[in-house]
Amino acid sequence: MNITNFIEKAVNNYPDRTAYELNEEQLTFKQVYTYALKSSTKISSIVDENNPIIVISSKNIFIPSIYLGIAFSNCHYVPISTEMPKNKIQDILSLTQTKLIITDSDSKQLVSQLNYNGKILTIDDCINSSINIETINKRKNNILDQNPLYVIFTSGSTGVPKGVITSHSAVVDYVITITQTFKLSSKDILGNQAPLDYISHIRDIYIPLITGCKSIFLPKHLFSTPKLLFETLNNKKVTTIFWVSSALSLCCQLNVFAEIKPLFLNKVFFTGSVLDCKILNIWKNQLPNTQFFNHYGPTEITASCTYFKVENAKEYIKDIPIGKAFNNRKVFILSNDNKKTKPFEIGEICVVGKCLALGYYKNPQKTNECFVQNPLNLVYNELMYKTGDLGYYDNDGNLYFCGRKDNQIKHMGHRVELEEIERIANSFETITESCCVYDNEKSLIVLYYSGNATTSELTKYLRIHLASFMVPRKLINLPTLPKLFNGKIDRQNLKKELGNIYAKI
Amino acid sequence: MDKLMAILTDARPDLDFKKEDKLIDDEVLDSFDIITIVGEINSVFDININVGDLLPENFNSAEAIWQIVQKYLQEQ
Repeated sequence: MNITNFIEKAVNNYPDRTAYELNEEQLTFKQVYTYALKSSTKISSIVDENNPIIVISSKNIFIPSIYLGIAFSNCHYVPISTEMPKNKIQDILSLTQTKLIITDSDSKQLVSQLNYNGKILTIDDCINSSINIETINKRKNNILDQNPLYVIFTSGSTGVPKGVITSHSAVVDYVITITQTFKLSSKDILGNQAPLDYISHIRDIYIPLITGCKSIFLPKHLFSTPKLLFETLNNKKVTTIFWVSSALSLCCQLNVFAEIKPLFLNKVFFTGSVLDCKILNIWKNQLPNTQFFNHYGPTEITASCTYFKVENAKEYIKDIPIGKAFNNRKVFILSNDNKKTKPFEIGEICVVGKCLALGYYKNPQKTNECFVQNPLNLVYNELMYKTGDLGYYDNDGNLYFCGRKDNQIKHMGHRVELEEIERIANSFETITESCCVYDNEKSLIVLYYSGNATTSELTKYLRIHLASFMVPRKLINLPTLPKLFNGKIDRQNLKKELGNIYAKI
Repeated sequence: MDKLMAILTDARPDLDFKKEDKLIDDEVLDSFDIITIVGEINSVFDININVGDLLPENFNSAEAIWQIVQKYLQEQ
């Protein structure tokens, strides 16, 4: 089974139900299907099978049809955020050698500024094309379920863009698994928070196809005006949200519950980073009849691999578990010497199953480092993904997340490699050296640097070369940075200093 | 107004707050900026901006934010 089968079934089962809604616009499953076929016809006339197609667009109601159109063409989509800095998009263009970019009218200007000689189509060009069923069928019949469906680029520490390639079968398996696990049905209405270029789009776009439910795309600016956000949830009768933890936090930080409550929410899924127990307790107390679930998983294992059902009667004081594995995947912890760990012993979280990505785009070295033979299986080939996340079990077999092996952090639901920020900062002329640390308590990226640059000119430079969420919000200029014996910058020491630094400011 | 400008520029040194007039509508500020700015305003001016006032029209420009801060100061 591949993802095109999902929309074909949907259009048979409930053609006239609404699939997606954004502001005043709505599309039925039949419309989504028709626009996907039109897009596929157009795309197939330009690129051969098995090619990457870059999609750069703000939240747009036609995006699902574009993604499906690319899938029908037996190609894979590479969604790129409109907020991604130009130099990084340029790196992705040269790595993927893409021959086609699809963009909306808002982002056309951004695309025209790129150094790119291939074809550009607007979303309108795609959805206004004619339909050639013969071409579509020919392409569709060549789709293997192990073929890539999409490539998502995440933050990388080396400067080479890190693209996670995911197959049809991993996405099909995931969408079916979570739909069954949480008994999602046509009665549900989803409220999508993340942009559609983010991994979570696979829930927001593909769950409606197999349940017949509706997905509401919430415009980003609502998350800056939380009262309007909750009003929208109520007006649209949203029952189910998959939000990053920071979106739940901001509702509490801005005290929106004092004014209004979501009336129809019965399932809240949070993911992306560790949710503060205080925030969970507020939501739980405000919505006592709603079920809350923690979700865990990196992009490399296709959205999420474990979940934990929160007990509403319980006050959570320290940590919320990430829980246990979904069906059809194994999630376990390995010690440094590749042995299974005992309860409360910390080790690396590892994952086995169909959910594994195909690897990193044109990067066999990194792929072979992270996707390895399961050392516990001495009988047959079994690929295992090493997440780089640290975790442990409690006595009930629930998993807990407790940090990273490297310098990756999660900030506002985004994955950030601190080295990527340092690399850009170090490229500024008047910087001698720099080191980034993350203040977990304040959710703040802090950059320490030495050199003559002023904090203001450095921020402006970083804003040009980094996505907005990656720009450090606190810059601290020191005469020199503390070093370890081997001459490397002492990151842990700088992190410990954070408290003292605030006291001085 | 100087104090407010200092808060805004400190949060986003890359923006010219004298010119911006669609900070929310055009998603120039993200939710993280809003939390930072509202938190700072509340502590510097010793007020407590109500979530009901977190509307695009009150936060689209420095001038609009100043109006809403004034409103709270007068109520005290």
